[in-house]
Amino acid sequence: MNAIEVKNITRTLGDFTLDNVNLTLPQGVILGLVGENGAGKSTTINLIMNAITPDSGTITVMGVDNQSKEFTKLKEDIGVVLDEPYFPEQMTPSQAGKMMKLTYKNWDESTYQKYLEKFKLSKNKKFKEFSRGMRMKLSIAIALSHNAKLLILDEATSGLDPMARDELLDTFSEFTRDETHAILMSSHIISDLEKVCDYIAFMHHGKVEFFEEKDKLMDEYAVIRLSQTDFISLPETAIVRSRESKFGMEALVKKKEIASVFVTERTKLEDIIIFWAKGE
Amino acid sequence: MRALLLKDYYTSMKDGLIYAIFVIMTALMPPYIITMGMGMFFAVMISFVSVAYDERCKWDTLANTMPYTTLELVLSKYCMSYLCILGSLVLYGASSLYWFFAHHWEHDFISMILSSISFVLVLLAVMLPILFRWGVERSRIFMGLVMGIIVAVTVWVMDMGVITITTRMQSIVLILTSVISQFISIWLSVSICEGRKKRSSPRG
Repeated sequence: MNAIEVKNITRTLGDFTLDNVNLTLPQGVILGLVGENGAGKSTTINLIMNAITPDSGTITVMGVDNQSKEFTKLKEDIGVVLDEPYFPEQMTPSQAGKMMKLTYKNWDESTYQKYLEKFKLSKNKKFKEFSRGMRMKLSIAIALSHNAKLLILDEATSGLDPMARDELLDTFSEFTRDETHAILMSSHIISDLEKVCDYIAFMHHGKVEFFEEKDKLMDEYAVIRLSQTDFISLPETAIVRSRESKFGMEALVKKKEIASVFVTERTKLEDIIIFWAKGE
Repeated sequence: MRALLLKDYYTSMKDGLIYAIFVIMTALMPPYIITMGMGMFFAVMISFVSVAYDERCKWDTLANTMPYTTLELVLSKYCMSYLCILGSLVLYGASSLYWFFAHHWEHDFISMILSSISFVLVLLAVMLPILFRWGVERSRIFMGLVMGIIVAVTVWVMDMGVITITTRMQSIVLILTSVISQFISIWLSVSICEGRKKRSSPRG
């Protein structure tokens, strides 16, 4: 059973259309959702959580149709961190814990207290007095404290310092060691995704441009820099994206389809994404 | 539901205290329908404040990711209002008893209380769907209008002989009307909140 199956989802919001999105998140893996601002990542997450309804297509989460009544019950098993904390400003972490204890049947107070300590969150400080990073940490602490099987994280690590981010990424990796667990995380920090994700989905202008295993992506594609004449000699099928640079041409190519005489650079996931988004 | 009520208690505790003081002040006055009505209006204002706080932090966005149904989210606001009305009712009951025994007032306290409850219940039934639909800021304009209409209709019904039954009967008719209006209002509020899912959302 897949943790999430998004099939042919389309949703129009004003002048923006999320166009025929297909995604599959198998259990035991981390899927990274990447894309520029306004690409449709948050809309996709909102659609998965049934916070908005699609114009067409279907979404199943852990085998349950997200439009069905059973989905509300299933939310017990889903930990969500949104791009903003959206918590009432007057509440304190201690009060939030009491509220969550009544919200989630599997609420684990000791785990919550452990995360509050780990993140150095004052129990009786009002939410409005926290920095953005601290607020995100509180949201993450809540998401991780009710024995969720699926984590949906929308820009959860943005606003956090590198040390805290690194610690969290380790926590996320640990979470998916249990093969019944899975994580869908969107982020602008591609290095974070490169570190922990098994699959990468790149969204651009409301469409999924590619959805691929991360290792396969890194093995298959590379960036090369070459002169105009050398560029012309490249097989057309090997060029995924290209752009002119000061010194000639830069191209994202399929490694296997170019001759070994061309020297490819060590390509990071970020390079692949940027080329895909900006190249022609 | 209990979690949502607890959240509302935490968020509107401070402002709620101010309104609670107003309610207590009106309960200390001689029990007239106008003071009771005003006091109960202050009581339901506590739940309107909690709607305002929810709106400010976009609580519904987060609530949609939690195991709450739309009905529970909506119903929690109504329940909070009912609890506040019940609290004020206890105060007015005690106040009426005091004035009855200590000062031998012979007003029809029950009719006064029932009429006041009807007034706030109808106000609640009209205002909550408006708050859910247009938000607190824009709904303020409606508030005065709705209150004016409710008072005018109540006075017209009671004093102009539209219903020619006893005062007690009038109160019972009013209560029945306001109870029915709750069901219609809850249904309307749920439809409005469900309808939000079909409207805009951040793209991210």
